Amino acid sequence: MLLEIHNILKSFGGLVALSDVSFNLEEGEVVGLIGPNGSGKTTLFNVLSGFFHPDRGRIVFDGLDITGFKPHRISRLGLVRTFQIPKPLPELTVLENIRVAAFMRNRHDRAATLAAEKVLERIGLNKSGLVPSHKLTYGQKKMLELGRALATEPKILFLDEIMAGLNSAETLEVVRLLQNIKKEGQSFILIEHNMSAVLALAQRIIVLNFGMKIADGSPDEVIKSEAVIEAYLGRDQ
Amino acid sequence: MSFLTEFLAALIYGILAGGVYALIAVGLSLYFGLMGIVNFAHGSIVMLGMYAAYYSFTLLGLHPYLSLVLVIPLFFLFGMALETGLFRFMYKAPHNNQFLLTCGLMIVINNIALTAFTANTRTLQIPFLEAGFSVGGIVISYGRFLAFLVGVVFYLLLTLFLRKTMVGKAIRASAQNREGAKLCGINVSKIFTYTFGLGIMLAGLAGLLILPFSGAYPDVGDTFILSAFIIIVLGGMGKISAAFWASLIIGVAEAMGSTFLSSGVKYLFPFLLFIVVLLFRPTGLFVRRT
Amino acid sequence: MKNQIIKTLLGLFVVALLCWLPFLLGDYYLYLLVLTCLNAYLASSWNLIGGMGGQLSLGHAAFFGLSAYASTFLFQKFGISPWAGMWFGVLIAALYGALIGLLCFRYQVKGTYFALVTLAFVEILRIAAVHLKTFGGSEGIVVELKGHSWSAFQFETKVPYYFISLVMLAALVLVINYFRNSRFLSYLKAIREDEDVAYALGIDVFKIKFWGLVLSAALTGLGGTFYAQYVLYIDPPSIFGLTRSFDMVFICIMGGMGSIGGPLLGSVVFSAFMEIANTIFKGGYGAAHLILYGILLMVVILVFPRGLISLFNKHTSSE
Repeated sequence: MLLEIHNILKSFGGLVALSDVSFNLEEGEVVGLIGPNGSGKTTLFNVLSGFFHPDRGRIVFDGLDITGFKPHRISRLGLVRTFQIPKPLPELTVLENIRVAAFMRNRHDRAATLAAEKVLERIGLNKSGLVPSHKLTYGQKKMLELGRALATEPKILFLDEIMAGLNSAETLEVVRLLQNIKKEGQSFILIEHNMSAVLALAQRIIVLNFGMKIADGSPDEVIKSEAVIEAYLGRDQ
Repeated sequence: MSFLTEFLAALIYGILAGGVYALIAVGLSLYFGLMGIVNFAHGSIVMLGMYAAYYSFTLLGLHPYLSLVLVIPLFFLFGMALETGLFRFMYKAPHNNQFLLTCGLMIVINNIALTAFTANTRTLQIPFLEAGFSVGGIVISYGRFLAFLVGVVFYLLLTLFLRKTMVGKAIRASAQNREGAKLCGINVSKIFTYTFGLGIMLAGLAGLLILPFSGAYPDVGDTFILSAFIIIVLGGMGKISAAFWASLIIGVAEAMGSTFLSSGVKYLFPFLLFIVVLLFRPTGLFVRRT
Repeated sequence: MKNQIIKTLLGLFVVALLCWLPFLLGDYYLYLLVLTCLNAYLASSWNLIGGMGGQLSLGHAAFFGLSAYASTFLFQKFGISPWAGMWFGVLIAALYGALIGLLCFRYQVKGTYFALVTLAFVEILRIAAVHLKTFGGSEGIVVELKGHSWSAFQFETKVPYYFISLVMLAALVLVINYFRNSRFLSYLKAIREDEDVAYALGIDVFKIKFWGLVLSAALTGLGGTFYAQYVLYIDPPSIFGLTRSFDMVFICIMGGMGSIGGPLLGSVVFSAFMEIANTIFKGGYGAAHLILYGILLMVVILVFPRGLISLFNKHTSSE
């Protein structure tokens, strides 16, 4: 079991953002995390990656209890997340951005540069390597988010709406890339609103609503689940 | 003097000083809360207020409390000019750059003062203000007392203004949500200008009130700016009621430090206090923790 | 291949020129040149944590001054050569940097707050220096003149000072340049750009910031001892004063924060500017040159936020 999440509770003041959320993830699994806006998906990512500490609950990653660990430590252990709104390191070039990530697994600058160049090619930005990253288009910035995460050689990747705001061509590119890394055995959790992308990639879907897990199963099961339909469409009164 | 008397004297003195600090801190907090600019030159404005009062007296024969009528509109206009002529261009810049810009402004203002007024300390001798009244063995100068009163009055006026008038409400709205305010038809750009003008006006006023009991010299603003920042950090940047109460607290703290600490440490005290406050409560004591 | 030859020849020419320069210039201009080198050195030291790390320290004079006072005190009271004393000074400066770093970075003091705290930390030292008679109080310390003596780090002519300051500057710049793509500096820049991303990419933000500050403090301290031995007089305002801190920052900003050539360019422009200002406003214009200094600072921030070096960097990234 690569990731075990036990009874996570997270509230902000009086607002409960996550309530008794539990699930597991095996190595090599791709899970889609969906739910209406405000259901707690990004908060969950923040908690799992160490940016927030849960009020209650445990997170076990690769056999190690990482609850309460600082985010950089969790990253180094192999649990890497991207940001919903892309955050390039603006004044650094695209290559430099990825190189920073590559330093996690490559101590010396030449090795890191080589590793970064490989990732750069993989994500299709090799022509933009020397461009200051603030000059990239939105779609390219999202690709850069993915590229940086990949350069850290993660055990599990958390992608937060990596396809949001992309046009169909860009989305196709991302899906193709993700299918490739899935074939390589990469585990990842995908927060997405783009259902066709999720269905194309995920073997399993978890649905959150108002901070609670309301479904966890194969895409077929989940789509048919009453609770899920109600969450998205409401109930006939 | 018994300990109790010393303590009470420090307490009273501190509160009185705090009331005037409030004008400085509230002004700074007002436009910081709205525009996010930390203005290092604010203390220099206070200094200019002191000189304005000084020259009103020596050149025009106006008692400081009369030249108030001149200083207030003058500094308000000056503030508006600063906003439209300078600060307006800095809203999109990173915070570090904004701060450094204000440092540059402080250098310019202080040295213009140095060139124009020379380094000699200017004091104003106004017998009435220097005389005092006695309360239980503690002497309180009229100058400080009146300054405190005027400070409090203006603070209350400001609170009323912000709460009851359309412009005041527009300021509060803009501070809470700039985009939302724009959508409500508020000319946020003008609001920025007026608010900055207000803040500067209060600083100038503070200088005027301080002159009767403190000499004016070009660098005098440095002492005020430090206290003002402590106050704002303590009270929570942007909340003016918190700034007011924090001013009183800091006034008392500094007075206590001055009275009871040995002469070496006494000068270090404001800085140590500053560091402690910034380390442990950068969002202020009065801000509710979310 | 031809490029390499041309570059090497050019480099040798510059080195030769720099070596010959002190003998070409009169005493006054040599004095300026030494100060320019020292300022460039100090600005480069500040640049490590300020420009590359993005932590705006307005209190670097603290490190400069602590080392200056430490080495001078050891020399005056115990006759310890400044060459040895300076390492002690550097240690003290580094320790103070560690204190500030420990407190500020642990408690997430950032941006303008950090700038203000560093100001407080240096003001404390300045006031302490004014009140402590053992360290000369407000009158400062006059370094005992030993004439021309290598062991006492004092020379009759400015020429040895020039070469020492040049070597310090060159060493610092070359080392930083060599390591410019290293993990440490890359991490530092990442922190400057976006701390959240830095955390997400596995960077121990506290550790990097902390060591960045300590290193910067130590390097600045070295400059402090040099200054003490060059000017042979130290007092609280010149050593711990606001101007001392501001100059370092200003030079870096003017030249280009975060870049390697920026502090160098900034120092040259700064010296030139101050010279011109002083010449024009010699005598009865009060603090006019300081007014210009402040205006220049504001203009640079408004018009060249990335520094004057951005004029030369149009086609590459700002590093």
